[in-house]
Amino acid sequence: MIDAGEPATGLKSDGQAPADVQLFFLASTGLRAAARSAEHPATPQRAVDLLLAGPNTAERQRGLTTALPDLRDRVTVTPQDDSITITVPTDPERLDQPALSQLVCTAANGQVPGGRSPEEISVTVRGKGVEVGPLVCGGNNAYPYLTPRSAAPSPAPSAAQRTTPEPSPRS
Amino acid sequence: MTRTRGQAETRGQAETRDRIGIEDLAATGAHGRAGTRGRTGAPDRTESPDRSGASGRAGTPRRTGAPGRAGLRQLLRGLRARLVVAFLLVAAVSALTTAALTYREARNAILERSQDTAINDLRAQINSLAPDLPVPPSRADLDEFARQLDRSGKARDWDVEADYEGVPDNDSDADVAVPEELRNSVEQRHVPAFQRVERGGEPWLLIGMPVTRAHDRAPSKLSVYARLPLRAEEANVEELVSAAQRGALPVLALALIPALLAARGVLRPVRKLRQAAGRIAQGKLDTRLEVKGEDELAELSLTFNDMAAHLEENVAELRRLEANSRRFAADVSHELRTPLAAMTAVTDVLDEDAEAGTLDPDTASAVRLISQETGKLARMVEDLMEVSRFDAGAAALHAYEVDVAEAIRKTLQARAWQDRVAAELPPAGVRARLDARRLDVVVANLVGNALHHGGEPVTVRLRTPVDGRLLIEVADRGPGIDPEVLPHVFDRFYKADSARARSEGSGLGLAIAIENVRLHGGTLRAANAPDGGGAVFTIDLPLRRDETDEAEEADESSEADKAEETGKADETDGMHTAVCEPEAPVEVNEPAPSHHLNEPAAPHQLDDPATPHQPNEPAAPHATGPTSAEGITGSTDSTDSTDSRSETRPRGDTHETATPPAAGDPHPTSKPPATDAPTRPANPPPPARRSHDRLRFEGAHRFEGAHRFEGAHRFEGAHRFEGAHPDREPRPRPLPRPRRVVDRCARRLRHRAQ
Repeated sequence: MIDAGEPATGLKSDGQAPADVQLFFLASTGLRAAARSAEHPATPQRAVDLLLAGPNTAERQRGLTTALPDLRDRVTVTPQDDSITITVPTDPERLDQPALSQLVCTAANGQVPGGRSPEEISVTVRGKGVEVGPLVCGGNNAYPYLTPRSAAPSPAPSAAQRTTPEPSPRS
Repeated sequence: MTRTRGQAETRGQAETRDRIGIEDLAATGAHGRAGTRGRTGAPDRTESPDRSGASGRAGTPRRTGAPGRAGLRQLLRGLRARLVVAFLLVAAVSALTTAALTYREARNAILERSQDTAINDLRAQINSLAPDLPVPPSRADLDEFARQLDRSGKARDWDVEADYEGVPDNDSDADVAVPEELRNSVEQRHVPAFQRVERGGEPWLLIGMPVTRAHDRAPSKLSVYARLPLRAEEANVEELVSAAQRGALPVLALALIPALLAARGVLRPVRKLRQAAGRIAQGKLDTRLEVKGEDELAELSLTFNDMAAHLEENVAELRRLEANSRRFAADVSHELRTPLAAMTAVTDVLDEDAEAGTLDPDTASAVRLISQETGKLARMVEDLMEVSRFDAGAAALHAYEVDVAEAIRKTLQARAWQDRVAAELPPAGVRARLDARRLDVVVANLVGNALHHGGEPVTVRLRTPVDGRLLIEVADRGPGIDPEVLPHVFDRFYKADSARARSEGSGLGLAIAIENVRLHGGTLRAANAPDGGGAVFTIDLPLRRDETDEAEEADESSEADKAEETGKADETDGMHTAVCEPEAPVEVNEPAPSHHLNEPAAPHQLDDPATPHQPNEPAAPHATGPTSAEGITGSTDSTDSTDSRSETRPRGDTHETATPPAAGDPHPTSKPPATDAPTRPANPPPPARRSHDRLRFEGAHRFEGAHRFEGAHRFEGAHRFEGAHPDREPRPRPLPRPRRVVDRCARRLRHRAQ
């Protein structure tokens, strides 16, 4: 028996929230959250920046990839009370569904002022005069429902989203 | 009669001399000593080639004929095999060592690399996944955690077990089966560890990884165990081993090539050295090695060359000295012979007076004593000259086919030994190619020695030839030869009985006998009869019947042989035989030669085939001159030798008697052999004039005078002193002193007769 260096780390203390940052990457089975440790819960801007940097080695080994083009340092996330506006330097309509889902879910899981849960935060993606959204992240185990806020203004859009797994039409 | 024969004799000798010279040159040339001979400064005195050649040949390596197992063993013990084996050993050791070290390092490297990679990967995955794990986790959380880890390690194909203290295991944990030691290290010491285990015949790597809390790095209750197959790595290592095994044999085979090359590089100079040493041993002292490079072998070659050069110098010096001493002996004996001839002549005259009773008794006995001693001295000188001829290699073999039994019988008859010696000769004629004169000398010397020193009855036994060997035994019934003496009986002047200070023989008889036998290519052995019945001398001769190389010689000599065999008397017997004796009967002139120790009995009827005279080779006189065979006949055929010697020597008193008229005259070439020889026996010499015309020796003149006073028989005696030169014109000479003596002697005799 031979000693093998440093132990692994990263485990939360009892009762603490599971992760500091949740980044959404693509796995073979769909969108999947990858937790990153951080001293403090990250802002949506920080989360999106980490997302745009791509999966790290361990995450890549687990098979996580990203569908986003290289937009590093060119994406601005502006959080409000219950909404987030993401400004991208490209036409957001040309981003495909998984990429939009990654952006929306990662931003929504960030530390948004107001303390709302991610499902209640509507995200609008804007760029080059085109605006997509508002969208809502519907979970992290499957492709999220992205519903326009106008179409689902009710506070229970998640049930409707789960029943209709089709990608929502963009307005 | 005698006179003509004498001439024929001398001519034969002269011709013999020429041939000796040629043979000698050929022989020495064949032995490669021409170069060294030139350095000695004595080209006219060559070594006996057969002796030195034999000794050289005795030194030749006899390793050529060693085939079969012995050869194989020698090959294996040889330098080449040792070098090759050493090379192979070195190659094998280095290959094995390299392979072993490489194997170890590679194995460790492969395993460590995969271990480190696995551990690092596991740690990274845990680091990545641990933040997602709720604390405290449920069993389902742990299973999900482990499943994620499993999936992440798809490439590594590991099995992961996640334990959280307080959360019960489920069934899947049994897969990893973490040993207690590893579990302790992880859960008690909180130190990650790994361990290689063998399970089901396959190697596995077990990794235990404790997980610390993110915010304070304190140990948590979570620990992760992974089991990783090392099959692939082990397969890689085995691949290395088999690669090393596969490479070893070709490497050894490859090592054989430089090994053989190196062995060749070393062995070739060694072989050359051996061959050169062999050539040196064969007497080729001018052998030198080619020196290549500057390595140790080149130095060895240089040293060898130095050695050979010194050896050559020393041997040349020794040869020169030996040749000088031999020449000295020959010269001395030759010079002694001339005055001795005169003395013999005079003592013969005086002997007659003593016999006739014309002297007073005291003087008569003194005269007899002087005469007797003079005869002995003359014989000894003759023997010395004979030995000198052997030493000089100037003794020629005139072989022709003879009936051996008949030859032995004649030898005994000639010395009146028939009654004292029992001859056991096979009735059927045993014929062999022999030099009959030399055989006669050998047999007579041996029988004489046996009669004198052994005890009668003496037996001469001729064995029927077996295996091409002709065996003649001479046995006596005396006390035998002292074993200590036995090795020396053939030495010169060796006296078996040292107490006997004065020998009656010359001490050269057996030495001459063995030289004669050697000349035939045979051996002469001395031994004691096994029953203690005296000494047995065995002549062992090769029975040569079909000689092609000597056919020419035989042809030349055959005519003369026929002529001579009719009863030629004691021409070769020397000057002491019958100078003043009337008609010199054959058997009488040697009263008892057998009573002399080692005395060479003079050859009698089977005389030297007096080959007709051949013109001398132009180059030959010096080569044959002083060492020439003139003494064989005992006649004074010393003309040319005396000539050549007088070139370099002031004329002393003795030379007044013996000096030829002109010094250094080469033999003119004339007289084809056939014209003279056959007619000689048929035609008795016409009155002295013809032969005297040819005389160069002074004695001839004085006996010419003697002839005038004494009559024909005197002249015949004188003939023996005649020179060999048939073509020399007679010249007037000053009358030398001995002649005056003889004249006075003769005058006195005549006066007395009146």
